[in-house]
Amino acid sequence: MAIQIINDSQARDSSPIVGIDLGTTNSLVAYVQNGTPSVLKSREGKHLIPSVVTFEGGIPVVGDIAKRHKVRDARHTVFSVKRLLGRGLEDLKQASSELPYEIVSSEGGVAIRVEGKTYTPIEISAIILRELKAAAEAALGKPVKRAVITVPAYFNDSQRQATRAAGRLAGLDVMRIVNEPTAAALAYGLDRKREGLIAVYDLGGGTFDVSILKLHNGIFEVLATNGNTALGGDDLDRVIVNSAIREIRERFGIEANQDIDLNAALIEAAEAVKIALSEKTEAQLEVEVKLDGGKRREKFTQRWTRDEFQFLARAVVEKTREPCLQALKDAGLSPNDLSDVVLVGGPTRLPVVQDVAREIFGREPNTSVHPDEVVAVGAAIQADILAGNNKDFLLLDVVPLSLGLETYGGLMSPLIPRNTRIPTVAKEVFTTFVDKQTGVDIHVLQGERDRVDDNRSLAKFKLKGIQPMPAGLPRVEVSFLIDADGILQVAAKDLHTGYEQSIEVRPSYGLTDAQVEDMLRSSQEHADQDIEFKKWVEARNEAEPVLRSSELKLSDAYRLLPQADALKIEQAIGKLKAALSQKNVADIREASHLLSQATVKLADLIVKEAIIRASS
Amino acid sequence: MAAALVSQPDRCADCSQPLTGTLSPHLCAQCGQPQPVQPSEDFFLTLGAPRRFSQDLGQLERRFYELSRALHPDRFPGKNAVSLERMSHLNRAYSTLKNRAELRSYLLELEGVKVGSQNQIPMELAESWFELQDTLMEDPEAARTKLQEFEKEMFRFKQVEETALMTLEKSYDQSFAREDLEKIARHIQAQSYLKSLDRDIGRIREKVFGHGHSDHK
Repeated sequence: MAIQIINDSQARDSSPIVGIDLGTTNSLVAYVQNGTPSVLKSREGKHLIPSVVTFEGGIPVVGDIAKRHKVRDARHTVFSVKRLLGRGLEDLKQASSELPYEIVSSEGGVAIRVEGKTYTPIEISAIILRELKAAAEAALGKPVKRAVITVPAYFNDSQRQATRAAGRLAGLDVMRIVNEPTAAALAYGLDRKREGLIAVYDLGGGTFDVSILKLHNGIFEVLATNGNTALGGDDLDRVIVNSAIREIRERFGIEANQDIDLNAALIEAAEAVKIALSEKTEAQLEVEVKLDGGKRREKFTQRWTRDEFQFLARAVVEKTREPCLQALKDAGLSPNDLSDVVLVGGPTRLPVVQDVAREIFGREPNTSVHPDEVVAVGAAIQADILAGNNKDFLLLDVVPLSLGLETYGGLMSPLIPRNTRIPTVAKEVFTTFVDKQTGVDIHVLQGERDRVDDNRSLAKFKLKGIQPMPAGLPRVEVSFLIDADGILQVAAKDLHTGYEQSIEVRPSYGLTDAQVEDMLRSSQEHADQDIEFKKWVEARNEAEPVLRSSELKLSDAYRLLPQADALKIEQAIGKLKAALSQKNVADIREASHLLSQATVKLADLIVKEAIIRASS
Repeated sequence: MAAALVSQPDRCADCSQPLTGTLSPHLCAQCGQPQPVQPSEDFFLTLGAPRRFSQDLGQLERRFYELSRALHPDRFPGKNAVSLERMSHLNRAYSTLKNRAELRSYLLELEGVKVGSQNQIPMELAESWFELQDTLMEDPEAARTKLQEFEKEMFRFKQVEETALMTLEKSYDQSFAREDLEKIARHIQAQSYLKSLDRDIGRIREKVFGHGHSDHK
């Protein structure tokens, strides 16, 4: 009966479910109201919220304000954190040398060090999600506790788990993890009511995905997907940055990427050049270079023509070809079978990207969807489906990478091949090799390679509590279930006793549910501290100008006011100073208020005196 | 009377109403709850498809879509374990029945016909295979032509095998004779060696043509 009650309350939960596109460069939140999806505005009134977090006195600030700090305060500003999500330090050798902030090894993956404090990519992502949650709450005028979050289709299990953990940490119930190209297809299909086979070519800030879908009467069936989770618009900026670094080295003899501020400035300037070149045929990169240990500054400029950029960019964009061809092959299709090729993601605005897509698929790609917003809109449509408001649409997705087990000799034996429809389950019976053995080690892998080491290790665990028996007799059935989020769950059953074993699969590069709960609790405690801190900063910011101007006017006070009134002002100044040094918000407010009151008459007299002087 | 007692469960696991309608045994028409998958529910039953080799792919897809709409976890708020189990079962049923090779092994398994594995080369290919091995040792240059000849021969062998299998499958679909299934099993057994043969050929090709040689023409 208890279960029935829980189900009922969940069914009746009418609180909004929003759709979130948690991007490498920008993030968006969207919502479907009465069948119409719309992107919700940030608290700064924009659709795109830069996925940038800066820290001011240890307090995180997200979005446009943080983005402005990218150059000014590179050491305290974290961007492109999605590239680090769910990954280990070994995967990130390249990325960490390109990112200006400090990346360190941490238990269960990597962390980012800002001002001596370390944050995991999950925590940084949660900070961004919290901002999106707040934006949605402000826009909808009610609390938002549930969300659908998108991930690149080619994200592996660790990266998906990390995304889900970030959502939980931000105080969101993650109703579904949806693949970005699939979400885009949903939004494309809603608009146009099209049928047939389509390819979604999704080049984002840091990831590339391609998905082949069949659209039929409201069903969106993914036939195959492929991609590269370390390829995106960032890499196109990189070709400009690298060229500038070379020229700076030749001209000034310094290593630009070892100067955090210069590196950040170059990344920003390169992005501007790239964007300018999709409209103009020429653009100029400009940064300031510090020489002689900061004593001398010199301007560095580099001219770029569109042709030069396209030549270098092409080598990067060409890397999208192989995944596209593989996805077509896996779907058993040729480019002629497709009825449309949909371009998604900011970088697909670039002519060179459109050229490559056109060549791969042998047709003019469709650029009619909004490349930045379509994924968030799709996530909102999926949220609407989960809320039970849209019974016409249904997404049928696949697992992007094969899932397998380590077998004797360090080889991976696939259990669930890539492009298998999800949810799915595979069962395998394990036995023992030694008499009276009571445990069996299981190593779960994800990837397409033969050698264990070439694949992603998802989890290692031991089946315990096997009854001591002669070797080969015990039979333990292990079920590997991939749910509708593309996330692995493992269960084991002893076939002799029928006893179900619970297995905690600890993600190799993520957090367990228990760790997330712990962090959530401590972040709620911190949230109170954070609010206190913010109040103090606000009170201080209000009080300080009052204090300064009063101090300046103190001599006027003794000149213009009765002695007693002037003394009152001087006392009020002393009180406010004391309150500020004690950091007591209520006292600061009160003392500040008293001081303003005490100086009202004085201000009035000063103005009058000025008018008299001016007229005489 | 005894038969009725061993029939599969025909009442809803949630509301105990009889399971009827076009969505049984997947979903209870009364309370709308998905029903646990019974061990007796094979992939043919799941998709309402005839228990045979020949399948109407259009019909399979229509039924798969219809059931997906009703059973998918997206249709049930919160975590519905039964919907997850149902949908996983449906997905596996659909991909098995859609794929010739998978359907073949599945039907044999269901009918209790065992397929052994073979660790020697099919008779039809044996002679040229050993000839190729000899040439490889004596005259690596000449082995190139021999290899290409062998590959052609193997391609023809696979075609003949496939035609034989299809004839047997047609025959089974009309007669449901166990004899046909056993013949099919023997053919599959012979084919099982071809996979390792394909790998061997790949290695030989690398040896005689060098690395990076592709067989696309």
